[in-house]
Amino acid sequence: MMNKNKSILEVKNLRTYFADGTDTIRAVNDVSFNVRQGEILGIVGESGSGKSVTCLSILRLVPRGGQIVGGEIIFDNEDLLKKSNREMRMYRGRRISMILQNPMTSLNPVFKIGNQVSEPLLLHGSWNRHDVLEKAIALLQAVKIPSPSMQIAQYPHQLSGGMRQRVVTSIAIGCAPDLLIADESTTALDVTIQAQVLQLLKDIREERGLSIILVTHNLGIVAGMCDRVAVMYAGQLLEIAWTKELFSHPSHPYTKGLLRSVPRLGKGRRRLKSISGQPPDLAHVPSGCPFWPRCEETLEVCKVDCPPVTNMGSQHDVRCWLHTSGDLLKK
Amino acid sequence: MVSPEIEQVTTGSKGIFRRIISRIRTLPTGSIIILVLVLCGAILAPLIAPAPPAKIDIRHSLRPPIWEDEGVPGHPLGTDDLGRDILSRMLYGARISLLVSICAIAISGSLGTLLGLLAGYFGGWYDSIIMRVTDTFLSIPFMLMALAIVGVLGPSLTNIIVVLGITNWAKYARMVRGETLSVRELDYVRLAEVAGCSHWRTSLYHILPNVANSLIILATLDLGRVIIMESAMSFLGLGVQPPNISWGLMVAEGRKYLSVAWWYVTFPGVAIALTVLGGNLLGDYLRDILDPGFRKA
Repeated sequence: MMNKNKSILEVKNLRTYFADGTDTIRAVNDVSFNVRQGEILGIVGESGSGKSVTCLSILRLVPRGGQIVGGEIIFDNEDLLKKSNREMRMYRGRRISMILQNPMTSLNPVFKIGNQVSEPLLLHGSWNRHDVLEKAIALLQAVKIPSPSMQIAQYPHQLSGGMRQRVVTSIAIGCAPDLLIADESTTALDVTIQAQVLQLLKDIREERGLSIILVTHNLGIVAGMCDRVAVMYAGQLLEIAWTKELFSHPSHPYTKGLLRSVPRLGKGRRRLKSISGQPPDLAHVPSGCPFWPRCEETLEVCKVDCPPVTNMGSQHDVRCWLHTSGDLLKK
Repeated sequence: MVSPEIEQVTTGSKGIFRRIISRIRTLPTGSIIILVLVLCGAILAPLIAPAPPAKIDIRHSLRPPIWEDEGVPGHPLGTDDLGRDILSRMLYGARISLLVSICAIAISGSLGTLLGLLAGYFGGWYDSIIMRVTDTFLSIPFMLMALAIVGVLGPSLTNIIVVLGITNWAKYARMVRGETLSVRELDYVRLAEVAGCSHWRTSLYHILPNVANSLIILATLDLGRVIIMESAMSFLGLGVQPPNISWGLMVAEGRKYLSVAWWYVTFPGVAIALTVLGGNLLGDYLRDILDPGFRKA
């Protein structure tokens, strides 16, 4: 079907910092990962762990006050960080698009659905007005909106939350992008609608062979949707592995803690363990490994030095001193 | 079983009274009638005016309105010192007054909107510079600035429009900037950027329509204020110049005859007051229906 091994996106040592008075907030600190064609990569982490900023950095739309200070973002063999703003606009919406968290605020209240679905088409394609409306109807059909030819004349407030998220999805896939970033795109929906929208994303992936980055903090969604998972904490990527591998052999103490804190049905009653402590203030991340104050297996070296990335086997990288070989430790 | 007290509150006489009040409040019949009358009068002036506005008739100078003893037929609201018909002059004056105020609002509105969008959307240096200029403009008394500008440019119809336009934009800039700041953080603006919209497209196509409600309200409320400013400047002799007619100018000319000809200043003055009232009532009404924040209150 498609070449599953080819990377569509490679993020290398990405750093995005925010200036907050005299403090520097390292929202994304030395993050590297790749996304392959047709793959769904999950990014999980607590609030404020840098997931959203990572995604916005890929599109070079870092919120005010922030700046990408280093790294490379290789998309389809080209470094996006070396593009001009004008060139960058041709990537946004056409080759990389994004769905945001809240469908209630994702649509402009003053325009009809049809206008909003056709906007990226008019921006990036060479359609005329009439064709664009037909294309918009087809797109709404693709996201399984009933009677799309009537819905294009509706305003956003006339649609339910699930419908709006479908509309937002249809806008995102309008120009047949290679990469879709879904930033907590189902968090605000109730569970049944959530399942429908996720199924929709899966179907779109199957049909169009696009790659998806799925940002979430719901490990259940990760288990059901993603091919691979990246775990972020305090702006750093701590572990990345195949979903099955991560759930069966978590290597980083933080990942283990996350998995332990998920309630499970049918396994008898047990006390739910949470990770003690609070995630660090990003302006004052502890030296060494950012997780050590909360870690159950802290070594002396953890408090001093940031651990290097260690390969744990096929496509399984972890950033933890526990798995670093002896030679490096002695240094 | 509903308690009698609750029943009294919901259906009692107080409730009906309140509902009538709110019905009157929600339908701005008064303001619409006033504004429509003024507008029709201005547009249809050549058709309905009893006499040409500049026609001098010394025999009939300073005649009172028709219902007074010395009133003459053909001059329903009396005549001025040169025997010109007050009603006709008011109808033609409405043209100038409305033209000046609408053009001035259009100038200050678009200038303020543009600068406000720029400041709110781009932030940073644009914001600091534009907002400091805005503060400066807001801190200078209007009359002082207007006097200075007219003093340099000389009074004329175009100049008064320009003066009213450029002394008034700061309010718009400030309001549009505030609204832009809150709208630009919303997801749909971010999504517009994600979809590849340029900054101009994002700000003009996606943000501006969402700011338009407040703009319309502010412009309507401003209508009255600008009419008063124009009248005040004409009254001081710095605004509309003869042979053009404006309500403020008529009040200024009639001031000398206040003790002998009350109608000379009264009717133009009442016209100013009513139009301002109409504009303000309409503005209040628009605010009530367009601004969800006020609707709840």
